[in-house]
Amino acid sequence: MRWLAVHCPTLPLEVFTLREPGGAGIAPPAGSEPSPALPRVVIEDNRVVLADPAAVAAGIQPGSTLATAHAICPALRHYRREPDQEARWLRRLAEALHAFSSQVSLVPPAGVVVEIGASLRLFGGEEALVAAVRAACLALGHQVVCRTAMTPLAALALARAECPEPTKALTEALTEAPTEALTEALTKVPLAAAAIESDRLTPAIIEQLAGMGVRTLGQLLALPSEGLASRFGSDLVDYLARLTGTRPDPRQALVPAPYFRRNLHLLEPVRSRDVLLGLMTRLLNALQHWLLARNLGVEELAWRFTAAGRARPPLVVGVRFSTAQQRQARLLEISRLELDRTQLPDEVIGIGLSAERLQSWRGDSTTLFRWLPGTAQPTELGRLVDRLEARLGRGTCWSIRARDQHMPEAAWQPVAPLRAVAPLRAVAPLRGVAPLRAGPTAKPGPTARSGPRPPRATGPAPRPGRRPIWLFVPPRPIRSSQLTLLRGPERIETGWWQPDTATRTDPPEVAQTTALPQARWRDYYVARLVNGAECWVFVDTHTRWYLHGYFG
Amino acid sequence: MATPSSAFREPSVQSELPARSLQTLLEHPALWRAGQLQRAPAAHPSGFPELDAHLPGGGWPRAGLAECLLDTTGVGELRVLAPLIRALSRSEARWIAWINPPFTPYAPALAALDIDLERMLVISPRTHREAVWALEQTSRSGSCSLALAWLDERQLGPRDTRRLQFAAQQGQMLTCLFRPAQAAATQSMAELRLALAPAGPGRLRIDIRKRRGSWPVSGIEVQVETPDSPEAVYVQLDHWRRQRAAAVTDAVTDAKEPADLAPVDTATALDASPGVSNSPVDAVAPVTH
Repeated sequence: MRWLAVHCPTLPLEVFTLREPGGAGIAPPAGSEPSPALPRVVIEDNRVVLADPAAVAAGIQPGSTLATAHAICPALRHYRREPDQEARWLRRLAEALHAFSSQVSLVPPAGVVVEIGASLRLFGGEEALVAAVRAACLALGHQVVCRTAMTPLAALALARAECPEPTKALTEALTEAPTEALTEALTKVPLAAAAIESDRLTPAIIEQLAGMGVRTLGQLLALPSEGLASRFGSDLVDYLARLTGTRPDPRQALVPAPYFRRNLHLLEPVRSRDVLLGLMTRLLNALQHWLLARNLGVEELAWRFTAAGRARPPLVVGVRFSTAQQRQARLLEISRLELDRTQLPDEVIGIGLSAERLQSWRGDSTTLFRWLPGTAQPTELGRLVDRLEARLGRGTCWSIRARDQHMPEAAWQPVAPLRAVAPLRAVAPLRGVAPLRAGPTAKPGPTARSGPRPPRATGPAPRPGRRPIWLFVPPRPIRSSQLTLLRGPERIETGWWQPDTATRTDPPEVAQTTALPQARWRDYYVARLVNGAECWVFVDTHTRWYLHGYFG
Repeated sequence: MATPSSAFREPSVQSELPARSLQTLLEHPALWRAGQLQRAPAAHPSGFPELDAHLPGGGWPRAGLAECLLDTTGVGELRVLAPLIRALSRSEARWIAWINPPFTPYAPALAALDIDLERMLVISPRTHREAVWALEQTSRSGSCSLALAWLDERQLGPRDTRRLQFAAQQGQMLTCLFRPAQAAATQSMAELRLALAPAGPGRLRIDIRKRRGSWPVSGIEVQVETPDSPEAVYVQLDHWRRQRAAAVTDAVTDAKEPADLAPVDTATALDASPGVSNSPVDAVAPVTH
């Protein structure tokens, strides 16, 4: 077992800056100077509990009152601490860390412990893994301190020793701790930093120990445990046992939520598209981590943009993918194209993202010979379709299938590209969906429907009909004087077994004038038009001629 | 036919240009030098030996822009491409894109040509700009082996063809652009331009207007279809007539089932004026029973 503790020292401030357009975690637009940071502090009970570097540079100390802070720095921005927001963001951070391990537990108020012993090999060693975790947290907009140790408590103590806990009680205790003791060695970790679970190592105990001259964990561990137990209770001994690993310390693993739905309520309305895209990138980043943790891919997601100042339902922008996706870059690319076609509200105050349709993730496989032409992967084929559909609109990209129907109009159908099995719905029962070699079954002549009588054909066997590459939908009326017949006739009859449906397949004017349900047929010919084009024409029951296709 | 002469050598470059900028210029994919023509460009056989003999590399270019200039749809412009479409759809796991086709590509006909329908991607953009964008996207993506495109001729300029040629080179894809015959007068960056015209039954006349490495050539004829003779129509109608005779005999003996006489009436109508055009078919009265 190897534990990684992720400590988020500036979480109380980050829950505000992450909701500010242009706040932490959003890269400023390229080429522009980062705006001079305004000093910010978080206050609790009218006292500063956390100050950002700008505020510290101005001379504001944690623990000072708000009035003092404002006196030092009039341009100060202050936020009232929101512990429930902190808990929510910490949980999101922890869920993102599922990408690194299945064993992730929360340690409120600002810590997460991850069991990494099983993941070391996959990520290429401890250093690489810790660097990846830190990068992932930064991408989500969190400054973190990462430390590893053999027990979760030791890792936490080390991480927190780097950055002291910014609560009021402990800042007071900290001032007594010797600053030179802040090194990585566990023995030199000040007790105040180790005090995580308040019921075990309470500030009162720490104060008592300080009075005895015990200020670091090393000093505390050197004391006999019997004496400690009788003076401070068994809780403290239990804590030390779990810290050193002599007693097991089971942790409850965090279970990722079964669905993904995030809302980002901004503190100020956003007017710029670039800032909006930055915020969207971060939400998609969270989605990617969530998908990785649950081993899922998303096929459809929905964005919700809430306009500022009006009580209107949010604008929903749906984004669909032909194959399930997991990577943030792909999700962003298609979302951005979809946004190009959408009129966004002028001022956006809230962004929501939800995964609407999910699919288990099959993983990316690559070919060995990627550089060879003609070896595109299904995912790459889907990428093109997604990009085209996002820009041109739904239904502008389709593929075609042949159907086993003998009416020429019904013998094909458009299908969504990359759907392996086309959804087939037909009035007549299908014999199969295999592609037809010789076009749909054509009735060769009257004998085909003459019931039990044996065919008496003595002439040449009719050749399978030719089919044109171009089809007209619907057929166009044409004057027969323009035609020279080259091949035919090929009789196609329809609907004689169904009294009413026959009219559906005829051109509308025919459908109106035809009263008789029986004897609906077409005689198809290959013909040449006067301009030399070869075409497919038919003459119907009323001896009207129609152009139905071109032999392209 | 003019073939690139082996005496035609690259001149030695004597220039004040810095060597690096010259190198970048020579690496430009739209630029080619006569010396490169000694090496045949990659090509797919077209399936028609008469045509292959005249195409650079012995077939359709593997990557680049080709233009088909034709006056009317239906002369055989797709049948001449059919062997290529079939080969690409069967051998490459990439799309064959139909961009803004004038009519519906008919699946049974393509299936009868043994073309893999799973590879077909029909894109129907609404405007010319969208069509050009879609064509460029399909070209650049590298996940298309062939694009057949019909663009708005009035809005298509030489700059567009240059971009399309560039994009097709980039994505290792052949773009086949169908344009009206009068577009031959306009300038184009396409590396191959063919004028197509019907030449008798099942035959297609191809004039190569532009090709790499040699002069235009005209008067190539290919057989895109086994020719049909109008007699076949009469043979078939005669066949029907004999069946009618048999059906009438049956109707006399077995009066319960009326025979369907409809086709025979079309046949009689065509018989009324044998040999000449088939125009009187209009005059046939509908059959009712």
